[in-house]
Amino acid sequence: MTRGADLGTNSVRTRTVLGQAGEPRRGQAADGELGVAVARAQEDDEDAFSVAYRMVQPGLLGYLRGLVGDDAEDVASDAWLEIARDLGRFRGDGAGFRGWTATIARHRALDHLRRQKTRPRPTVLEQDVLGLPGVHDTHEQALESISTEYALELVSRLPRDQAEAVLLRVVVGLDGPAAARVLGKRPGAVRTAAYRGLKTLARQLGAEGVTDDGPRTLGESG
Amino acid sequence: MGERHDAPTLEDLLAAAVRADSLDPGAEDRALAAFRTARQSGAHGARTRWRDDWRPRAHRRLGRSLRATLAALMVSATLGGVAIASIGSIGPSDDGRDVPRPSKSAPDRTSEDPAAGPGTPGQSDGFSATPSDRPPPARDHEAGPSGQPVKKPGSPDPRTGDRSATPNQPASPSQSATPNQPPHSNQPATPNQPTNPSEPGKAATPSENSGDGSTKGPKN
Repeated sequence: MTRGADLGTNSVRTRTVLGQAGEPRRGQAADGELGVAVARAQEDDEDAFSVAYRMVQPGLLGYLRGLVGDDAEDVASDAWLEIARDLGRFRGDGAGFRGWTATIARHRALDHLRRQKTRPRPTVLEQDVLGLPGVHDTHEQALESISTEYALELVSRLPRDQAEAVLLRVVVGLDGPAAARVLGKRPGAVRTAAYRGLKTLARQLGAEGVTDDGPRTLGESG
Repeated sequence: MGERHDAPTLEDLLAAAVRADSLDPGAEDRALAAFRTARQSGAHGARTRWRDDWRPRAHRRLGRSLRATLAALMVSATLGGVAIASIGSIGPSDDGRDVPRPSKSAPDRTSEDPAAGPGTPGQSDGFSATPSDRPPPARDHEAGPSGQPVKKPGSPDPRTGDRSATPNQPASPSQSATPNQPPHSNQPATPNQPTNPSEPGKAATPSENSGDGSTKGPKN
C-alpha cells in the first residue's frame, strides 16, 4: 500500500502524516507543555487544568463535530465532566492525555448517538456548501483554506471509520497507535482508513472547480 | 499557516477548519467546576485502570519484560540450584545403580531412600533419567536436570556455569518478542470500552513524545 501518495499535479497535496514515524507533524512541543499542565492539574492546580482544557478542547470539539454535528458542545461538556472526575486515574504524557480524552469523548458521543437513534448531520446542506466561498482554488493557486462547514460536510460523508480515523489523526493530533487504541482497531486498519479518507477528501477538494492538469498518481493497492 | 510549504497540506487545512477556533467560556467554567468538585470529593486519588494508562509504551513494555525476566531467572535459578545440589549427591562409585537424583526440592531428595528403584517420586519429576534412559555409566557423565552431563565435583564445571548463564537467554527472546505483540494479549484486564470486543493497544513506538506526565507508581 502506498502511503501519503502525492496526488500528481493537482493543487491539493497530501502529506505523509501517515508515514513511517506515525507521529503527528505538529504539536510535539505543545504536547510537552500539555503533559506538564496535566501533571499539575492532577496535583489540584486549577490554572493548570484550564491550560490543559484550552489545549485539548479545540481538537476534541472538532472531533465531536464530525461525530455528532451540532450536538458537539453538549457531548463535550459531558466528556469534560468525566475527564475532570477521573483525572486522578490518568497516567501518561501530553499525547497520552489527548488519546485518553478522545476516548472519553468518543464514548459520550456514541452514547449520545444511541439515545438519538439517528446520526445527526451538520446543518449545512449540499447546495449551500457548494456555494460557500470558503474554498479558494484556481489553476495556479493552491488550496488555501477550507471553511469549517465545508470540511465537516465532506468528512461526514466519508464512511464512519474513515471519518473517525481522519479526525483523530488530523484534528485531534493523535499518532497511529493512539488513534487505533481510541477506535479499538488494529493500527493497520486505522492507517488504511485514514489514508483512504484523506485521499477521498483530497480528490473532492481538488476537483472543485479545477480541471485536472494531469493524471493522479493514486497507485494505492491497499 | 503552512508558510514553509508552497501550499498548506490537506491535513493543515482540515485541522485549521475543523478545530474549534473559539471556545465558549461557559463550557470552560463548567469543566472547572467539575474539576473542583472532583478534587474536593477526593476522587483524584482513585486508582488507574487499564483504560487510564496512556504512558508511552516503552514504560509498559519494560514492566512486562521485567516480569518475564524475573520469571525466567527464577526458573533458571531453580534448575541451576538443582544442578549444584546434584554435584555432591553423585559419588565417584556410581555404576548402573540409581542414585539420588536431583529433585525440585531438597527435602524430597534427602527423604528418599538412595537405594530406591526408579519409581521413587523424586526421580520421576522429569529431571532425572531412569537407569534405562541413562547413558552408559561412564564415571564422568551423569544426566543432570536438563539432560546435560554434569562434571564430577572437584573438576571445573563449565556446564553449571553455563546454566547459571542460561537465565539470560530466555529473557532475550521474550524481550524482543514482547514489544511486537499486540498488547491486548498481555493484558489481564477485561476491556472496559463498551463498543470494542478486543482491547487494542499501541504498537511499538519507542520514540513517542517525551514523558512529562506523572508516573506516580504502578498501575493497579
